[in-house]
Amino acid sequence: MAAGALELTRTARVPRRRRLAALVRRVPAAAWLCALAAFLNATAWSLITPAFQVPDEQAHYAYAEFLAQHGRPPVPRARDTFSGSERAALRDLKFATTMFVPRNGALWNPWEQARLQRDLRLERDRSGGNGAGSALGGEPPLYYALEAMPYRLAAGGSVLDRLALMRLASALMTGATVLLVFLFLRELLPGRPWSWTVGALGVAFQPLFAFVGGSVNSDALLYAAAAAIFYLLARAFRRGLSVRLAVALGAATAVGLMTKFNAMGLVPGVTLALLALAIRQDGGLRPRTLRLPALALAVALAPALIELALNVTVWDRPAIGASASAFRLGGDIHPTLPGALAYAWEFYLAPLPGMASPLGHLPLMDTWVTGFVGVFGWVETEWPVAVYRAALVPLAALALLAGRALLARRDALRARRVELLVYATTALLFALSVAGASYVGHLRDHTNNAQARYLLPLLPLYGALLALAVRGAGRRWAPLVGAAIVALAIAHDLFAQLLVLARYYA
Amino acid sequence: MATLALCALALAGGLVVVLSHAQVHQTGTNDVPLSVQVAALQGTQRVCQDGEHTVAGSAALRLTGAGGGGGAPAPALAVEVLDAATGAPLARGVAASWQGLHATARLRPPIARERPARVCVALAAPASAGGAALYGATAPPARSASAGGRPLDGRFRVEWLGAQARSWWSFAPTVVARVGRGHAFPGAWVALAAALLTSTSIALATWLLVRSS
Repeated sequence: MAAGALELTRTARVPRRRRLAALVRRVPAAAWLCALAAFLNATAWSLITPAFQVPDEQAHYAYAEFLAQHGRPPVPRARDTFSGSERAALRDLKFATTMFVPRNGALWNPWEQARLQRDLRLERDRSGGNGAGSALGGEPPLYYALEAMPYRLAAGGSVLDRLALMRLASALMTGATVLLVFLFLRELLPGRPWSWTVGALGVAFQPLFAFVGGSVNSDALLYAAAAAIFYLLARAFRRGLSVRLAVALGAATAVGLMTKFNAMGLVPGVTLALLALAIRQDGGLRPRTLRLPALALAVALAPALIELALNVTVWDRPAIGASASAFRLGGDIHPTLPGALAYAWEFYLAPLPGMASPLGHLPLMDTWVTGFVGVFGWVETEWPVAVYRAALVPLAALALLAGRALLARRDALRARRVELLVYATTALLFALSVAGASYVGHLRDHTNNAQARYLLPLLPLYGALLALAVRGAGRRWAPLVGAAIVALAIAHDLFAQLLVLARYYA
Repeated sequence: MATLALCALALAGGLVVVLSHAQVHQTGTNDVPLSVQVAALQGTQRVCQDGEHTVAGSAALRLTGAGGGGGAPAPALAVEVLDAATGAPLARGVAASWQGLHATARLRPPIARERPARVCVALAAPASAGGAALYGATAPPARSASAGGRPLDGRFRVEWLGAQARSWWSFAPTVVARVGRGHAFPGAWVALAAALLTSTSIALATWLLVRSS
């Protein structure tokens, strides 16, 4: 009987393995190689960037440590406290005096290194602290549960051993993001494999993306989830929405929702896309049209509902974690729709006459373009202003070439206008949700959470811009433009690494 | 292929230009940020700060503040570095002029080894008309700089500088050593591994591009 059951399990396993192998084989080798390049690059960044000199890395580490040690996510608290071992590491790494002060370097002297090693040997506490309850206490636990694995692998080592392995896990997620961007481009722009490679490599060497990907930060998994969503949407628009695709889309959205609250900004776009796909497939809106969208949304929301139940019954956390995050609304603040829209305008573009200017006179350039071109460390490590101005030239050239590609194929575009509208709306709604979170913070305590990394879930669209630019160059010049785009991306990444090296080590 | 070769050449040229640029590099700082005025130097007043660490290979000490004011020229500052344990002078120097907010004193003799130290600053010519201010950050009285035995509001910033301008090529061994600190397995391997990873990813991307085209 037992032998028979074993035999059955074996036979079931073999086809599953074959299916998995076939699935892996279906992904082009170029996609794997782009992902590998992104992983290697992010790993290099993880070695170059000093420990905890990435926004909130100390809090992300603390959350993962809390989850690994206590088997549950932290509870929102008024202020962050850390375990003894993390406190010792932060003190000896000069965390507080290095961040925000570009003229203060990392550990330069052998005696500082000796002190760090001695203190990490002596201070072993890993259970203390509240897991960064103030910064992240309400955030969902998926990324941290994944990071708890490398944490446990290095459980016998020091904070720095664990951090190194956890950064490596983030770098893997960065590789996965680029793989999915490649697949997205393959579905979006079929027929020109060269442009998929250019787009994916352009993303792989985007320095802000690699910098975040080489750190412990839940954004790394959010980027991968967003890239998966864009890929699956493009696939559904090209091949039709099947049950399998609806479940996959729901699962990718669920990963995003269980990773970071910012993923909520993707849900309206995904819902819109599902509706558009289902209506197109059924030729109209009937009750049965909603079957697949409902299935996808059920899959997307099920884990969040389970988390909600666990929050209330087991973990003693607020039912909806967002109520303890940057999205927290309270009786003392009174957000309004006109106020939110006006703030969103000022947040991204430039304040109109009569508007306040919470982010300066030209946020589009000063915060978003500058941030995307590259501001590192705790948003204090930057190039001279001239570099950001110069970056406008290649950015404008890319936009012009991409526009030319769209114009040249306007007939084909007309046939795909719903799909393009869905991508544009998804991007817009996501950007509005980022502004919305900042608006709430602005009303609560006059802070503005404007960092370019918050928009990197839209990287697949940046990859599409690069791929379109290659097409816009025309058949004759496409190889030249493609090579120039990748060379520029590599140079951009290389000089960003030098900037960070000069900031912390010279 | 030709485009890639041209791009690689341009990139290599850019790197050579940037890395050949020579400048005086910091050898260390006391990590004090610049947020407040900590001391105002007037007449014969001498401000001293304990808890400093000399850095081997330093030949100058840079202070941040403001000199002069009210039409008076920025005064020269006299800097003295003392052994924290014995009080014996280790090095002295004069910052004769200011460059913006910085006054740099060349130290005689240059610092040969690392040890706990006390840094004292005074006007080089007590009779000079204008005073000077030193910038730093607030600190508890026990850790603050002091003047005439009385603690001030905080600590002033101290930056130790190397002997001469050096290109990034000649400074590379120092950078490699510094990158290797603060890691799980400290050592020069960290910078070399980072360089290898970056080079491999670039080589991979280039090969892929050539193959795909």
